[in-house]
Amino acid sequence: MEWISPACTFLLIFAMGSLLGQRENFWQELSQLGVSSALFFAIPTLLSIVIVFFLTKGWRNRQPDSPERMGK
Amino acid sequence: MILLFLIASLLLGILCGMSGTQFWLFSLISWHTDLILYLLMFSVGISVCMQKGIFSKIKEYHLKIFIIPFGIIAGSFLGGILCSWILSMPVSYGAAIASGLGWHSLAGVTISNLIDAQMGSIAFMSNLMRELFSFFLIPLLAVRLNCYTCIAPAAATSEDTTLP
Repeated sequence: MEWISPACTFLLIFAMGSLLGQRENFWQELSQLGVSSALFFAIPTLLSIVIVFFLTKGWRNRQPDSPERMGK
Repeated sequence: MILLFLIASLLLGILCGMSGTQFWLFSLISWHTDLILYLLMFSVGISVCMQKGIFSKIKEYHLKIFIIPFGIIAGSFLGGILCSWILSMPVSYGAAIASGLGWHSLAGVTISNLIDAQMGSIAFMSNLMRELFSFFLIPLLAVRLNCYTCIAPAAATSEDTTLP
C-alpha cells in the first residue's frame, strides 16, 4: 500500500507539468512564478517562526538528548 | 531522492505539454487527475490512521501540544494573505497556497485541480522551497531562538523528512 501515495504524486505532478507546458507564454510566466513562489515561501515561513517563537518563549528549552523530548 | 523524482516528473510533464504529444497514456493521466487525487487522499488517510499512539500523545501533553501547530498555521495563513495583497491575487488563492505548510506534493496538485496549473505550480515550488530551506533554518533557529521554533519553518514536513 505504501507505493500508492508516491505513485499518485508522481502522476499528478506530471499532469500538472503537462498542463503548464501547454500554455503559450510558459517561459515568460516561469520567471513570474519563481518570484511569486519565493514570496509565498519567505513570508509565511517568517511569520510562522515569529508567532511560534513568541508563543513558546516562556517554555523550558529542552536538550536534544532529553528523555522527555516531544515527538514520535 | 523522492524530491529528484518529483522534479523529474514535473520537467517531463512540461516537455510533454510543450511538444504537443498526444500519446494515449499522457492524455489518460491528464484527463483523470481527479481520480488519482482521490486515490492519493485515500492512501494518506490510511497512513495517518496507521500511526499508533496519536491520541495517547495528545492526552499526555494536553492542550499545550496544539500551541505550536496553531502558531504555524496562523503564521502561514497570515503570510499567504499578505502575499496575495502584494501580488494582487484573490485572498483565497494566497491563503490556499500558504496553507500547504510545506506539503508540496499534495498542495501543488490539489490547487492545480481547484484553481489552475499556474497557482498549483506556485504552491508546489513555494512549499518545496519551504522544505528545502528548513534543513538550513532549523540548526540556526535551535541556536538563536528555541527548540520549539525549529518546527515552524518545517511545518507539515516535520512529521517525515525534516523530523531527524
